[in-house]
Amino acid sequence: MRKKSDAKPGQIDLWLVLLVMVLVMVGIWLVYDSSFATTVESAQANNDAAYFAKRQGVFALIGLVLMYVASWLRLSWLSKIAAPLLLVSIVLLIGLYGFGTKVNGALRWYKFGPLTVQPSELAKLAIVIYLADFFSQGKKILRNLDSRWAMPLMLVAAVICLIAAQPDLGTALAIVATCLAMWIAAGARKRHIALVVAGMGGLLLLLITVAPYRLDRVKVWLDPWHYRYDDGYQVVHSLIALARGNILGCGLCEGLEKLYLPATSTDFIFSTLGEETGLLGGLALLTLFVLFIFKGLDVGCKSASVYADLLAVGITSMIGLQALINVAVVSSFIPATGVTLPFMSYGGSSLVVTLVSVGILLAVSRTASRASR
Amino acid sequence: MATGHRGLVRKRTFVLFILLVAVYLAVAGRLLYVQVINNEHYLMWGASISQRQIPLPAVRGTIYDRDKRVLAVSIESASIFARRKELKDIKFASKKLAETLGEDAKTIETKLQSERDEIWIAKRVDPRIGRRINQGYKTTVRKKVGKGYRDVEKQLKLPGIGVVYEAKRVYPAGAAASQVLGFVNSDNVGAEGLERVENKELCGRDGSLEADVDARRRVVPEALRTLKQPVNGKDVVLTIDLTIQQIADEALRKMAETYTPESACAVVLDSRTSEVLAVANYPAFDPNAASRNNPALWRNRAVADLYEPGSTLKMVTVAAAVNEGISPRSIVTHCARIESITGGRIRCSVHPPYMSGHGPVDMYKIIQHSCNIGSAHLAFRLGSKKLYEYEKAFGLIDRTRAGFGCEAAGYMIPPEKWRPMKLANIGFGQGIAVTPLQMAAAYATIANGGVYNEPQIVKEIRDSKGEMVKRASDVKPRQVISREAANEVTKMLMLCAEEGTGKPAQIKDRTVAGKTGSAQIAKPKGGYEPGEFIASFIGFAPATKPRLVIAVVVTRPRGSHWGATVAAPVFKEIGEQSLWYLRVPPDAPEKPKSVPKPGGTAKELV
Repeated sequence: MRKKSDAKPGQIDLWLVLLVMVLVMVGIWLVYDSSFATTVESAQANNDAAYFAKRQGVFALIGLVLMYVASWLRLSWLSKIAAPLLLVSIVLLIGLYGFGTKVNGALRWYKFGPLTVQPSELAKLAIVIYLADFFSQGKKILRNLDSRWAMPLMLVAAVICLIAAQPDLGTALAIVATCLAMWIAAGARKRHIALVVAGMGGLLLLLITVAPYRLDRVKVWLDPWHYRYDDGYQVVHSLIALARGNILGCGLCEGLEKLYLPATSTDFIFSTLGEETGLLGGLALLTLFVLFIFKGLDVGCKSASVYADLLAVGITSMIGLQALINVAVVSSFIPATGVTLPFMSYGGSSLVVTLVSVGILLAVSRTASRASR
Repeated sequence: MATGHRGLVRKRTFVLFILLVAVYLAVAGRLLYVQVINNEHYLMWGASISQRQIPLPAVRGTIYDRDKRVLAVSIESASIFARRKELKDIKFASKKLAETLGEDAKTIETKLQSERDEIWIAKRVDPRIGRRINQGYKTTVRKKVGKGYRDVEKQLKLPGIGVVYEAKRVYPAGAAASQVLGFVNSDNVGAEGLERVENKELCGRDGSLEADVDARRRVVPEALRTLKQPVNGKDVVLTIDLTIQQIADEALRKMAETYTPESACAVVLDSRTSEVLAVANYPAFDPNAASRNNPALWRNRAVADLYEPGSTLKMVTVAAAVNEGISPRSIVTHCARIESITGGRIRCSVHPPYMSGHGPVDMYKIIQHSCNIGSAHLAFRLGSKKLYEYEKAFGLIDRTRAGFGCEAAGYMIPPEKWRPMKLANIGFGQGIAVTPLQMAAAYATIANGGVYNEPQIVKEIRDSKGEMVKRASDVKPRQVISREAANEVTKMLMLCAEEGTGKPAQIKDRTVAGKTGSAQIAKPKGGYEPGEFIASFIGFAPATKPRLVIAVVVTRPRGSHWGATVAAPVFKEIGEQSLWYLRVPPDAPEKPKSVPKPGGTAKELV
């Protein structure tokens, strides 16, 4: 049935493409804006103000090409490679312990010359495709949590644990949230949802009591000023940046706090935007993301199959949730977890994988446009 | 089945969208709170991190001598400190610092192991050392190259080691006039001497720059809030003449080699104005390392310490008598070595050929042979009230206002309480305490034709542009005795120097007028310390056209206690060299007959 619907691909959703193009452009600008002051003084960056922006631009080009390529993928073929892709990701995640490069105490990257590749980004996408395939088997599978769940649960749990152990709690959390969103959308029983949410809450409490150092993050979150010289440093300066922005911002490139923030062009890129364009700029960007969420879910609803629908839900919520979590962290709404801002944060693999995901979303949209025609 | 599932998924997707929008609204609300509603709070955080008050220190004024030779000046210096928490390799750091500072690595290592968070390694050293330390040192760093590690040489700053540049006060003339100049404390605030007295003028006003700094402590140009320009300190020009000061220092030092006194001082005044040309104190100290010296040495004894002037005060008694119209050549009394008066006995120290007293004495003889009994009789004739008035007029009672800041007032009980014995004592310089500076000013009065000038140490104060803003002297001169009386006293003092006790003070080619003194040292509770003396000589030269007044006071000399032996040669030394340096024309024709040998004069009278 699914194969039939995939047979003749239709038009890609141009609104989605436009949205993504705008987000990517804003992202390259933000990478430039938040990094130029540092790079002009850095010999490692050849004293080039646009060093990171140029690299991000190249990644964006690669990503956009791959996005277009991905939009021609057959969804049926994707479902076939879902499991192998997930396995490859797990292998790559394990392989980090042998061949990975440690940066700032975290083992997340493979280094190939000037390129760094983050396997957790691939794993994210693989899980989304895999779960979309799994959930689309029908209502029955969601009614009963039986032995058929064993394999998917194991694989997903393995990925999450491996990523959390890197440590990259932020990405792990984003994946958990994405899985949850897909599960809910796929039609999980309300009773199960309540149980799982309660269970996760319990697990969190347990983890905190078992290892009190996790409590520190909460403490820092509650009183960042007290920890302004160490753990609260980023959040404090991020909050100052946002406050300096006020309603209209202090003007493009005029931000000062970016000099304090070490992760200003990655995890905390939003604080530069908030400082320079104010609440209005920040809300505009957030609204772009909500539009993206709306378009993404809309594409899913209009798609030809449950599988395509869930694929769209997974990809959209993966990107959307990550954006919301990131802004929540930057504004100290939730305790700090290292999550990048999709399309914006500097980072090749993140951007490329995000754009490829959008490409798959566009592939879904091709089926939708045919269906609506 | 599929349709049923499809419908459920669509419904749930809508729920999911609502959920995400709810999160969006919550995050947006948070942004509204942080950026607009409560932004003052976070801005305060920002201000407390980035707002800096950057001090712009004023340059402390320079102290000059009268010829604009530098006595005290502020220069740039570097202080090296360590932040304990940021220190990495203490061994390496102390080795490198020791090399640069030229100190022992062990000492620096001990310092770096201190418990304090901020450690001073070196204070106020050559700024070039600071720049060297800021340049960093060659360090081998392990660097990952490809698969292996390789040691790479890098020029790195020592972590945790910092340099601040601050002003350092230096005294290029070393110990010269050190007690006059004083010194500054570690905060560059005057602590002693003129540095303390004129601190207000010298220190200027520090400015400040209140501005925002960015993460690298650079001032953000647009965020400049207030700029207060520093006002540099004013320059103080002293009346001191560095050359004469050095002559006086050297003369005292040479005397001390022979007589090893507890202390000694010499004051040189310009007799025409009473400007202080030199104040030498022995032992001297180096203000460049003031804190390493015994604080007792910081004391400017010439103006801060009282002593019993002894015979040198007879000049005042005689001057008063002459001015009151008593004929200088008339016989005052018959000195029989000892004389009983109401309340006790007074006696003269006698030497050959006057072993049984000085006999009939007039004022010349009183001065020439330092006759106590004669002075006492003059005091009786004047009466306590008159004598006191003259002492006061000569500036011996009130505190001088020369500008040293630590000047002592003379000590004397009020004249109403004087008994005859006290009056007699004061007549020849006992029972009264004065400072050497006061005595010098009193002698300057005679040299200056009876006009008393308040001694002055500060000539003028100039602002940083060199404009004169204050001329010190504002005390009016006063006629204490008539010009004729002053001339008469000068002649007596000349006789004393030519043929009396003051012979060793004679200066080549120039006439000298002066008086010796060898006073016993009064105990705090009355009576005198046996065998302890203050030897002094005060006089001026050239006697016929006075230029310099020199007072030499030596406390507890060993080997001899006579003013003539100990103090007069110092006078001669200072006078001879200073007058030659000042190119004061000679006034004495060659007088080969009276060139006494120093040391052979102990038999001369007090």
